[in-house]
Amino acid sequence: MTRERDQSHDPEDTAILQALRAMDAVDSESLEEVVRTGDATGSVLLRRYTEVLGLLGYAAEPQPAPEALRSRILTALAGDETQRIDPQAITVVPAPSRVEGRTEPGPSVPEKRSVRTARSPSWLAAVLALVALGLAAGLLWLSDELETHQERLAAQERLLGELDEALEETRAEQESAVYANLAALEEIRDRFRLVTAAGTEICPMLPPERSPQPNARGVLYIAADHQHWYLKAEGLEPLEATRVYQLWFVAGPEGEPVSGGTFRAAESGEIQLGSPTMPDGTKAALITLEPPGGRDLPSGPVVLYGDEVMRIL
Amino acid sequence: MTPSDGQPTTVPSKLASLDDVELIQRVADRRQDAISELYDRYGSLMLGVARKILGNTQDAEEVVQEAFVQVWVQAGRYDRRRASPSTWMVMITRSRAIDLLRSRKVRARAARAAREEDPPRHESPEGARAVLYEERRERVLEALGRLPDEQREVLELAFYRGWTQREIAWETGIPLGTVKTRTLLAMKKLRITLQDEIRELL
Repeated sequence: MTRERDQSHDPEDTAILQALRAMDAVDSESLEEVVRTGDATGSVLLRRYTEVLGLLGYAAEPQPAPEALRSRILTALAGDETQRIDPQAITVVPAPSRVEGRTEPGPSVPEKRSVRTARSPSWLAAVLALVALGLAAGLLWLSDELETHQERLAAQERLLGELDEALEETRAEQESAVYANLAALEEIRDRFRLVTAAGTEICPMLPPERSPQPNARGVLYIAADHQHWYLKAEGLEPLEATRVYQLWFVAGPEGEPVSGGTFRAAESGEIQLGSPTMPDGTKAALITLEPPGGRDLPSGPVVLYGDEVMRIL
Repeated sequence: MTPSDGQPTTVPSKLASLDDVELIQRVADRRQDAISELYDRYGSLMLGVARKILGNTQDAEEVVQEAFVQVWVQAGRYDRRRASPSTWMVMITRSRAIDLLRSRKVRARAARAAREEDPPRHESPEGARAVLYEERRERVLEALGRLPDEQREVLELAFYRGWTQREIAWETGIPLGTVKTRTLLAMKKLRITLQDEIRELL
């Protein structure tokens, strides 16, 4: 499927278009490209819209899952563990050629006989000719009128179509704004739920010594499942185009840093991020300054760091 | 081939208590009983999706078989940050079915079979998950039902026919900008209406 170029700058619209593209790229490497860890907020939105598309599958009428199919699947896996079934190899039963019904000859219609009319007087012919002339002129006039009305009608239909389109666009813009607000409200509710839940842990994030931003502060909230998290930070300085903030989780026995995505702070210096996944065994989190797009490993100065976790309730 | 022929069979096991992600991990470890459990959970859903796209049961079963083989092969690459297991499997099925639909021969066969076959039988998965499945299906149908017809139409064309927005515009005669607006709006509405379902999947 060809790719549509995304010209939208709205992160929500971008996420939707990416989810639609990812849906078509599920089988290819381009999916990697589409969902590569980049903008942290965008990744969360993309995930949500991907799930919306997945839920659409439930609209289809469920079908009985036969035991015979299970056996075929298991047999296919037992035969060759890495076997791929080529869709092209599926035998297609050719459609039976349609038998064209022969057209039976219809009942014979007797030919019209020419009827010889009696000769009319010449004055009658002249009157008939005049009437025919009048009729022809009338028809011509009516035809002109009809054409004019048709043109007017077409113009009015075009105008109506344009008005309809403009109306739909305006309505869509209004609705879109309403739904964007509802979505934002939903995010806030999710975060509130996480922050106030029993078992949630908090990890204060502070600037280490020699941090380039000594006034920055942050708190990382970690849900009891140790997967969902929410980060709120403030005092972050605006960055030039050549730098982004990158969040890292330090996890695993060796303390490997795993990227949690890149972001830019709002003008107010505030940032709020969240995600439903976190590496298992996360022991610490840090925010560094990195080039746009982020790095695979931290390379820039550490802005915030936190490794002490406290339970609220 | 039937299970009694000595071929791999369904193994009633503790796997039923595992969540979907754990099952995918078992599949990555080459556990056939895990793929069998996934078949119990999502076979009906995947067949429903494939049947809706292709219009006949025979091709739908072929596609679902291919989809499970793909799940088997790619389970090690599954990334839970990108999609829930059910979404991942639905997308694989959809992708396979649309590939098949694009083959002209199969398209003709699907059209013929759709005319000849009985209407699809409504059948939910059995067991404890049936209630969850039915509830989710009802909520999705209700959410789709709340969308204006024109918004639902573009979404269904994208999902079940695999058309791009440009293709939808071309085929329906609707301006491309309008198609895009309708799609975006439909998706935003669904995200709000289905927020509880989405939360369960995250």
